[in-house]
Amino acid sequence: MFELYIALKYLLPKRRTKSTSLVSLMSVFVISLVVWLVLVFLSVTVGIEKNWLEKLTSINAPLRISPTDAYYSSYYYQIDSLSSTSNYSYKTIGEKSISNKTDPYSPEIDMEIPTYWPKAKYKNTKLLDPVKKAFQILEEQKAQIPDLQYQDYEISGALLRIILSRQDSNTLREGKLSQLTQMSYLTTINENNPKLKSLILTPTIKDLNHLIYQIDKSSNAVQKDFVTSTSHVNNSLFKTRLKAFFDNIKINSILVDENWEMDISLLPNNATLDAYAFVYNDVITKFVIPTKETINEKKYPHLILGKLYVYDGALFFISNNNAVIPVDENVSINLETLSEFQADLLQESIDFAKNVEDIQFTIKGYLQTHLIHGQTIYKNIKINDATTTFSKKSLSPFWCYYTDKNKLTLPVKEEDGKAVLLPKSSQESGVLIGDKGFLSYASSTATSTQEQRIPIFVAGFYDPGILPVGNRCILVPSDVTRTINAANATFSPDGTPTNGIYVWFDNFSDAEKIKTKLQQAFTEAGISSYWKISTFKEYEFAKDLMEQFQSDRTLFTLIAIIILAVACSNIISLLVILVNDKKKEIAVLQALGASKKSIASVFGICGIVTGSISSLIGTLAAIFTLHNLDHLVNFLSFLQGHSAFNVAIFGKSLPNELSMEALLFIFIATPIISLIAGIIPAIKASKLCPSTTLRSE
Amino acid sequence: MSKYILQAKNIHKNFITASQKIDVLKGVSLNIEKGKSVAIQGSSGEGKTTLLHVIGTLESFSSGSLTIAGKQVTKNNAAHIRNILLSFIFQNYNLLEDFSLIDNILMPARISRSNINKQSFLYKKAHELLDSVGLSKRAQFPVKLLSGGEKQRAAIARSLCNDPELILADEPSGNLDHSNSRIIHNLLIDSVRATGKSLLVVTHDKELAALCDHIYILEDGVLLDS
Repeated sequence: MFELYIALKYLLPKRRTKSTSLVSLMSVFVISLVVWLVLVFLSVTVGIEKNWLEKLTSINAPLRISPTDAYYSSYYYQIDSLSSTSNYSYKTIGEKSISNKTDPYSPEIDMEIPTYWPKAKYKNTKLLDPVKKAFQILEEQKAQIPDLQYQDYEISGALLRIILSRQDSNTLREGKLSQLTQMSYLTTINENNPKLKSLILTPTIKDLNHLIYQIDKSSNAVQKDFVTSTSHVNNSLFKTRLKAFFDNIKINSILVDENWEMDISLLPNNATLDAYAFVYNDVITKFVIPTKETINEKKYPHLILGKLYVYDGALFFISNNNAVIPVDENVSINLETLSEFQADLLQESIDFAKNVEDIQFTIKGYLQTHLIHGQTIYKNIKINDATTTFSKKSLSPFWCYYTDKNKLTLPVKEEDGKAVLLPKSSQESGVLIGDKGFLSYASSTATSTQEQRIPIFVAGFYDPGILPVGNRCILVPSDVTRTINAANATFSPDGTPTNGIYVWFDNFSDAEKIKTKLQQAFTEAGISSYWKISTFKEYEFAKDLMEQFQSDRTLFTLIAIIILAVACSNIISLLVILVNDKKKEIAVLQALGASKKSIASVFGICGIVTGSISSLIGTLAAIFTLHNLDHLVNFLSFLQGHSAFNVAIFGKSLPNELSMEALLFIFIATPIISLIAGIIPAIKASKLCPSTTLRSE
Repeated sequence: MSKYILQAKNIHKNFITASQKIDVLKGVSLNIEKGKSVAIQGSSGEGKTTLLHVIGTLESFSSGSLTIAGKQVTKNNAAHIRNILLSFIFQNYNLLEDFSLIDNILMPARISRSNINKQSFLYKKAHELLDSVGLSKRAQFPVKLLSGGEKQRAAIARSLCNDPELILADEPSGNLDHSNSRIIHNLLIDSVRATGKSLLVVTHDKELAALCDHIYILEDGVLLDS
């Protein structure tokens, strides 16, 4: 094509036309820079938005079906309060879904239905069952949408009190007791939630050390208001717990502290070690073996520094000034600092263990270049590294685990109460897996309000995402909420209906589509008046956030267009210079028969080509930047001296996926803006009068 | 089709400046038969170049009519007529400095969107044209490295590329020395006669004018037979 042929010729930088080349390079650079900026910025923003949406729709499903007032005032709901089959109490959606009778009323036994009551709604002579029908429709939808999952949920509230029974870090032995009390919201654990697994935090080493410390502690005391001590459990329970613990944990290495007593048998024969000796009544009663390479003579002024020699299970000590000092036969050997050893559980030690200290390990490691190998009891020792399982073996672990179908299951410990999952913020305030406590709620009787307690233990922590009440929201088994809700009136912390059905699916952009489908099916089944279907965009607590995202995105796009336009306006100056430069050539081309349209097209093409090449360079740079975003963020953090991006808002690392939407935006917007920028010089070029130019030469 | 390649009837052209209206052409009529060459002479400032540009459709005229190869010239078909039926040879050559010699010769063909590659007919033709003006060895040369005489020979080759009906030449030897001028004159007249094209040349040069079939003199905006 003639126009493209000329345009490319003009755009190629030439030595003769330095000013044009400089301006064209500048335009390409500026547009590339802006394209890079817009792409990186929009990609990160879109990524962050996606992360937030994911968090928003993980505990709260992307779709929620909640009962309307019509449901609560219907005969179907009310009749349970009149019928003896239902124990004269209302039923939750979960209970309704598994109840045998849609209409539990029996005219022979139950009292007469008052005249003002809502009339029963029948379909084909059978009482309409909105709950079972809704579940049936969902099941039908599941056949069409394989990743669809649903489950009923219930929300409640109670006072949470957790007893923090801690090993004293100085002595490792004496327990410290404190309590944590807070008003909490309870949500049922939805095992069907496909995203739940990704929200559960794995037990930390701290948790494991706490669990092993707690193995022989009883939870009897937690029902008291002021706990002063914990008591020991009976031997059979201790055995069961110990077995459950080591069934699910493989300890790889341990840390021994300064109070750990080393058995002589661990020291290799004929070894000579540096040691500090403590002399009492002219006899050495204690050795401290330095673990560091450099030995500080002045560290223990009252101890004597010398060489410890092991021979045939006997110890000899020669001080640095060559004095031989006798060693007491009950001498204790300690290490100077916390030291790590590889460890393997001695399985048979569990069988005869009566308390935690009876557990034995085979340990292996180096001490002053000597290989230490042998057995030790679990005393003044901490777990340093362990592998934990998340599936049930013969005994369930103390934390939540997964069954074959990848379904989350809570551990059962009859003696400790119900397993609950706490938000990760409680982990930060010091709660550990295995901590016990209770949920306290008020139960009204005819004459008074009584406090009721449900014992609980912490089975793990979860990431609540962006629930407004996330830091106070506890995940509990459904019977807990049922018990509490049966005792007092329900309430909602943030406007979320207290009872309903959550529907999950992978792609949350399908929410509207699935909602429409369900709505249609509900209408056909005649139950649409009982249910309100809302997508995550309509959630009471999410609405503002969604609107914020929407307006942010609009604003960013607008800003992007403006800075792109500013950058592309460089093309105008580039082309105006080019037109002035090529005036004579334009006239000659016209004399040779090029039309005004062709001349205009040449410069229009120059604009588009400059824009497109710059977009390409900018895009490549953006891909490179996003690929190395972590390094960039680290560098920024280094420059600022603190973390450049708040982990709470942006996550551990910024999203680094190139947003296809942003790319599409760039590849549509840039050529259009460049073309528009090219139009002005193009018109100027086509308006040139060839006769005048040719004559002036 | 009429026997005339060019029929200009009563062409008027005036320039309007801020203070006055200048009549440059005051009713010029000129017919050129196919294959004939015509020279127009006149003093400087008489409007010879204006007349040539008007006939070459580079410039509009105030009144009159202009027909080239039977086609009435309008605003819309001017560019097309220039490309297909006309070609120019300028005093200062006006080659495109960014392109090689062969690309310059082929430019009119590119503008008329002909398919051009090394095997195409036009490419061979361009080489033949360069051969005929004695520049075949310079085909890939950047034109800015050519001498004045070479440039004008190249311009003659370019003017024949698209097979035009009428060649318009404006002082083709005005920038050249005597010997080069004579070469150009002969080459121009010979090429035109050999290819059967018509030629309209505006010149001061009596030698060149003498080589043409007719000579007119432009005086006071009117064309006079010499």
